[in-house]
Amino acid sequence: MLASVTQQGHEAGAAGRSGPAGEAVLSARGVSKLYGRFKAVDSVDLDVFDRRIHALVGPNGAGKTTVLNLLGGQILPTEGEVLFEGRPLGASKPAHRARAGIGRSFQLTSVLATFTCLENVVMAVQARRGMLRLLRPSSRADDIALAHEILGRVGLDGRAEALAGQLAHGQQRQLEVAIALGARPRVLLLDEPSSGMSPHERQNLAELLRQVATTTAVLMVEHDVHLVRTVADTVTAFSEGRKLIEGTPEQVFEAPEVQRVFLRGLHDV
Amino acid sequence: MIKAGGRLRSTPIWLQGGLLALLVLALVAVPPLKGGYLSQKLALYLIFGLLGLSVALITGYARLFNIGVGATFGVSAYAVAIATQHGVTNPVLLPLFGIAAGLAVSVLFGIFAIVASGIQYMMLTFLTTLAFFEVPNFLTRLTGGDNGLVLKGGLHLSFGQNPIQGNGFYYLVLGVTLFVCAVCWYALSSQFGRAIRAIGQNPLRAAAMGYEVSQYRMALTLLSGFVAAAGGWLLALDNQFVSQDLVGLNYSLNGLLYALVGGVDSILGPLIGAAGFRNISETISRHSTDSQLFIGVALIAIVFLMPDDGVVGLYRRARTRGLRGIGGGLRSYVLGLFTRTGGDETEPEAAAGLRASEDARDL
Repeated sequence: MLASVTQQGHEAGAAGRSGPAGEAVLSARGVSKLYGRFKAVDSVDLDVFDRRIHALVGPNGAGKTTVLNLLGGQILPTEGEVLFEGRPLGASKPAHRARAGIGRSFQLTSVLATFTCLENVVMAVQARRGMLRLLRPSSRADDIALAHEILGRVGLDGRAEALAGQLAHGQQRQLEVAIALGARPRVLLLDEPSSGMSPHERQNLAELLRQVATTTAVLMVEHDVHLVRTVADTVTAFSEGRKLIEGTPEQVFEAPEVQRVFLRGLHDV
Repeated sequence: MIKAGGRLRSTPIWLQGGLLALLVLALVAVPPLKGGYLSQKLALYLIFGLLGLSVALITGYARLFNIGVGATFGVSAYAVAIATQHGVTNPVLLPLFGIAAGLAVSVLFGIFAIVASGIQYMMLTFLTTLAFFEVPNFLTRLTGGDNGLVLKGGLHLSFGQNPIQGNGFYYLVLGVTLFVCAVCWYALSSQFGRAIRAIGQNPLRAAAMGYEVSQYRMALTLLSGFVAAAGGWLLALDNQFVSQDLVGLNYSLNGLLYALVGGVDSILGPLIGAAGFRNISETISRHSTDSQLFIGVALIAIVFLMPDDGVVGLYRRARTRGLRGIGGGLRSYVLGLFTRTGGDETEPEAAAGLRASEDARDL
């Protein structure tokens, strides 16, 4: 009842991107996830459109990250199905989904700490090659060139040879995005990409997200309301595993039910 | 160009090559010059070094705590002995029998690596080893039961080389060891090896990148099985006899010790660990009737104080930071024991915000 207030966000990018969004790249249909009797996610329908930024907001424990894990294949739904470019993904594993075009970053920083930044991204770039094709002493020149280009896009071109584990937290988050881009995704799932970033880094992240969204669909879980308002075309608010409301950032953040949930002392949107 | 990821990058290739060439030269030249039983002793060290290397591949690179590799080693030795009992004495066919049998056991461990992780995986490998220990009792006619099994065929089985006399058998063992190490080195320093390191470090991240974690784990388990099986074949030839204890827990745990002492994340480490550990054990045994006590205390000290990468780790620190580096390494390790909040295996699950107990999917 409360969900799907509007679909306007899909039709014209609230953050300035114009043109029709076209088909949904990634969809959830009636997806639920139960842990024993606890329903972490309850009958969620969701569409992520090409070249649009879609943000999931809500208090802690609302089920946002679980939705991301269901879409990325890290966990399987108890009910419902996930579709990628209209085709059901079934029980396919995260690696298969990644190679198909679903990129993923994690809530806690999850880079390969003893690898350099460049190696982290190269690893992502060459993951789609088969295991036997990786039995070669060095990476392919085009994979390395692509990795350099991606590092440049996220603003880490100067740190290519730095060990990932020695980067500042905000830079590790940037590297997370770079790794996710390494797989050349059709849709990018980002879990709190701005967490731990300075205001300046958040500003850069907003720029990066806008730029990524010129070619890729983005679905992100985000607590920073300002960032969401700045970049998102569509926002879906969650509460207790259910979709509360979906629409443009203005519609969602001004909706009474969202205000009620967020003003219950749950300031972390 | 990007080579292997991680710490290997820091060692110049000419230094690695030079040191390796010196080591090989010493291994080739010293035994005949020194004479005595050095060849026999070194042959055994190399064989157990292969056992240690097979453990290190799984424990160090894939970060899977397998304590059943001894079963692969022992089954290979048994396969060789059984083949000779049935008239197969061709020295070229025998290693194939041993390696095929070892790989069959490795497939089982590979399946465990796909369906389980952490304590569950360790327990599966532990229980499998216990089960393998009982197999000779069930198949008495085939395996000789408690009495073990003698290899039939004499020196022909080892290309005419006598394991207890001369240097020929030692050179056979050295050649096989170098070949096996070369295969492992190529695989681990390739992009495949980097993927293995990435999976060992963070399986969830590697899967999200697009790596089929289960495929890579199976491939590495088979490589480890190949190494252990080669060792089992050579041990059968060396002893000319196999017995039940070969497939038991002792050999698995010894392999783990060699790897831990030498260093689990290098190829040379387990070989050094096996030679060092066995040599020290033999020396202490000659001088004291309480040798097991001293060996036990020494092992506790080594495992507790030695950084994760064993003797090879000490060398790396000494090379990069001098003697102070060794002290610093030990100090930070001891401090780390009191400040660690979680192991590598738990972080990726937390990273995904997953409920590991209820929900972790096979990757």
